[in-house]
Amino acid sequence: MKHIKTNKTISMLIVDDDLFIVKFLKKYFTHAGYNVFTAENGQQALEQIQKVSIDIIILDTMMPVMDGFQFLHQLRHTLHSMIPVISLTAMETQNSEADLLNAGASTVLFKPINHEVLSDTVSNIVDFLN
Amino acid sequence: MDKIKLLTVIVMLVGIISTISYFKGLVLLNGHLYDIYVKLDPYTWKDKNDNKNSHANILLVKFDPQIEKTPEYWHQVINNLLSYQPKLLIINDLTTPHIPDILQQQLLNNKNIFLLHYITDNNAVENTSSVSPLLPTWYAQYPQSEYGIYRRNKRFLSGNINVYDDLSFEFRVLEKINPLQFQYLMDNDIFDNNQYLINYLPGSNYLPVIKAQRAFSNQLIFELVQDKIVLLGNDIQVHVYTMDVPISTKTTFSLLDFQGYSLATVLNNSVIHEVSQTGILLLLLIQCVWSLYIYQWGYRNIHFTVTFAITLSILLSAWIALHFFLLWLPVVEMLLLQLLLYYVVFQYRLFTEEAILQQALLDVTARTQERVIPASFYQSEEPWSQVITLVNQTLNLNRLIFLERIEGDHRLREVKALNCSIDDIYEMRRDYQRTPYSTAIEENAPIQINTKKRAYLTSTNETEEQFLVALIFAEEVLGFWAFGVEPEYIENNPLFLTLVKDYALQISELLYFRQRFQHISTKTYSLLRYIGLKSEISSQRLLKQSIELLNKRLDSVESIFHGMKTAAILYDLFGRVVQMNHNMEAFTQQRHLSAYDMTALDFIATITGIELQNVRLIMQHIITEQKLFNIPLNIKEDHQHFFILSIKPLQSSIKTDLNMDNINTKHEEITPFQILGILLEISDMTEIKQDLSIKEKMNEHFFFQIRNDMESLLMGIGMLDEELMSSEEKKEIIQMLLEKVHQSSNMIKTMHQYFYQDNKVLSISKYPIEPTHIIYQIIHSDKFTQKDITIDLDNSKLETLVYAEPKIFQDTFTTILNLLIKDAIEGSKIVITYYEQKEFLEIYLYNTGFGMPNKQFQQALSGESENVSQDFIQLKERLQWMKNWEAEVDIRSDIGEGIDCKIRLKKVFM
Repeated sequence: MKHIKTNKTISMLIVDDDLFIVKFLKKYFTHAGYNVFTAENGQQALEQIQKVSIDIIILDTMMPVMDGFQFLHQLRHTLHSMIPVISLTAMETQNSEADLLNAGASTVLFKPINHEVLSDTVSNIVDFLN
Repeated sequence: MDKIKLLTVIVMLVGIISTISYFKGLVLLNGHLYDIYVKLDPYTWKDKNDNKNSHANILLVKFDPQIEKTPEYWHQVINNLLSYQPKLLIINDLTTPHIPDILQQQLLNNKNIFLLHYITDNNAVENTSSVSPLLPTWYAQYPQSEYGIYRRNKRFLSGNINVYDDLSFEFRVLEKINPLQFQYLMDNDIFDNNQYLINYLPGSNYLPVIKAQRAFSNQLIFELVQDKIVLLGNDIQVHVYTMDVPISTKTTFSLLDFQGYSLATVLNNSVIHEVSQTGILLLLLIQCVWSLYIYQWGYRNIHFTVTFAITLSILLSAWIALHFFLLWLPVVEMLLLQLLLYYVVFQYRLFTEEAILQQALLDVTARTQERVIPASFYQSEEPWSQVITLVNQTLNLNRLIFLERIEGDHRLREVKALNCSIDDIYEMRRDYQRTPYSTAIEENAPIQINTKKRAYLTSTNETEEQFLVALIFAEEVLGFWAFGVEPEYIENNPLFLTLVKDYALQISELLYFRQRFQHISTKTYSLLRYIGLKSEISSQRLLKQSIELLNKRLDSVESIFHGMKTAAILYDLFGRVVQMNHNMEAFTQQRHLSAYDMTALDFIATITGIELQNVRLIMQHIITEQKLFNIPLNIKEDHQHFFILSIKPLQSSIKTDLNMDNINTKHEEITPFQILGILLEISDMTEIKQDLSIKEKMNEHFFFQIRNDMESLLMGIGMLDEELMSSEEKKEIIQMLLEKVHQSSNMIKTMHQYFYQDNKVLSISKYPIEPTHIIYQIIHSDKFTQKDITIDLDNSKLETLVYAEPKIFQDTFTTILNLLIKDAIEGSKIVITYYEQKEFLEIYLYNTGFGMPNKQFQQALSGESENVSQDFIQLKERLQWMKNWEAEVDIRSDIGEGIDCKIRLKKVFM
């Protein structure tokens, strides 16, 4: 597990309807020193963003109420937010990656992913932010 | 009748005719024909003076029998004649029963004067006693007629030859004037039975005749008498009046004339020869051989012409032989033989053709009967028991009986019965030529018998209704079927009588085959059949029956062909349409294809989009390799459906017998002409494709879900390795992992079940489907083009599986959309959006339309209103089904607000 070394604690928003994934990721990144918030769908995630300052978002694509695409659209075009978004998707196709990137994702990772890979991706983005 | 029997019959015919001829059985006919032919003298067309008399070296001098012939008269006549130097003078002593002395003197003094004495057969001695033995006398006998016609004369006289000379006078004359010719005739026995046919061919007025008075008064011409053989006799004899001879003559024909023709025949060596009995036999045999040779060529219908031609040639040959070769052929024998030959050969050909036809027809009937009913079916009673049981079970009859007609009898016999027998039929009602049978035949349908008026079966049940059906096959009544049934059963089954009629048709066919089997196994031959007076089952009847069978078979095959779900078209080997079924007709009409105007190649190229050259290669491959070929169709105007075209060759079921030793093939090589044609079948795979698409989508989602679950598990497992995680936290993670594993296992099991379930098996059960995909397809079909309405479909990339039955969901959504479209204002928009909840997917539809009061709308939906549209009726039914998927549909309307609808479907993965 990579521990972040920053001046401030990075706030992370994990958006996924799978409670197990949310729990696992929350535990993991909390241990890693992140301030982790969670949301079950895109709608809840938008509400969270408007309440707290989020530095990075790990976003699942297929969610009820508001899926990943709709959330990205709202985030980028309505809220005009530039928060980096790591999009996780089970649809491992060229089109799905391109669609997500076009929708506003910063990077796309295909499930199932190694938590270390996810951790490295997050670290890279944090380093970049720093 | 085989060929040996034919030849035997022919030889017998020849023998019979020869025998009849030998015993003179045909003399009368032959004689008449001979007379006619003699009179048909070719010289009648020529100048009568054309040297006709050039060969006549005879002069006839006729005495008037009324005139008294005194010795001086005789002396004068004889002297006058002698002065002209005749070769011979022959005096018929019938002219003067008592020969005067002066005549006797002249007879004795002149070597060339002879007396001709006629003797009868019986009184030879008596007759000759009146003639002086010193006088030079020749003898003759009265000729014998054949049925009154004098055609022949004798060479040798019959009777007591010790008393008189045995040779008749004609031969004595010949002996005197031409000894060589006489010797020749005596040495070559050309006379049949001592008789010879006198040559009457020169016709009447052949021999010069003068009256004796001219001789008496010496008014003679030198050339008329000189060197002639002069016969003197009475003009009309006392004993013999006009002789009937084969000469057309208006004058009388006396014995003297007869003598003259007879003498001329012998002297001129112009005897009409006849064929001997041996010769007749040989001639007839040759005629047989020749005729049989000719008859083998051509069909029966030209045999008559051939026979006519042969008959004419026989008649012509006989005439030519008679007039030009002085030969009389056995014409009557030959004609009789020819006619009998014609009849015999005709019958033989008839039998042969009938046998071939019967065999061919039996082969055809056997082939049409591909049920392969073995002979044992007809031999035993057991199969009929099965038939009767089946009929009874289906129709619920009280009792029934099958009766068959006995050939040659007007009564019926029992085939099989249930709960009754033929004894239950009133005696007077077993004659099928009377009612009710005649009525049943006339109606050709089940008839009800009025049991109150006159019962058919002895009734044990007053309520029972009795029916009678004629069993008719190929327009022939084979038997009858009678049964009793309760009236309420008929009332409760409106199709009862139709079923009875259908069964009757089938039973008729069974009865037909049973009777054919029995007929074939007891076939007998009879002489009457050979001579054509009694024939077996006629070919016409058999042909009719076979045609009936073929028609039924053809109807069955055609109905199967038209009933095929696939669209099928059959081409012959040259690419021309042979037949197409109804589905193919509909298919081509919908797509404006003129299949009958196109060859197979053109048709395939058009519907598949493949180039003609490639289609040609495909066809060659199919024909040579005998394989089925499938091609997806590419119809430009139709993207909603998915069709597969199957092309296969139809192989003949008749296998060729390759009997050549030189062929070294391991495989059976089929030649192109064993292929009957090419069958094209178009199968509509749209639904199957849709079903596969649904499963594909389900698998896709399942795949995503699995990957999602794998993500959880990997995350969890990875975290167990983290040192910073406390043991309690790890325990918690393990618990979560176990829970996740359990959850995933359940999901896999469920998906596994759905994967192997045919979603068509239970049409109202739920199945994981992707509704957005179905909705997309519905929106983009051609169904909604009537109005100028825009459908705004949520283009979210949401793909969620819900529980529904795809067809019903499709139909329901289509119906709802129809309602919205019909209600929508022209140019407006219908909006369709999705909203995914945790457990449900909600689909919203609404329009900008006229709407209706919601109460009325709900009443229409629930079926409480009358005169509602089909959409409301269908929707009501489908909404009921949707409850099985735990789905909800909320649809409402208001005036001016159009219609809006919310469909809530339960998600598969939550």
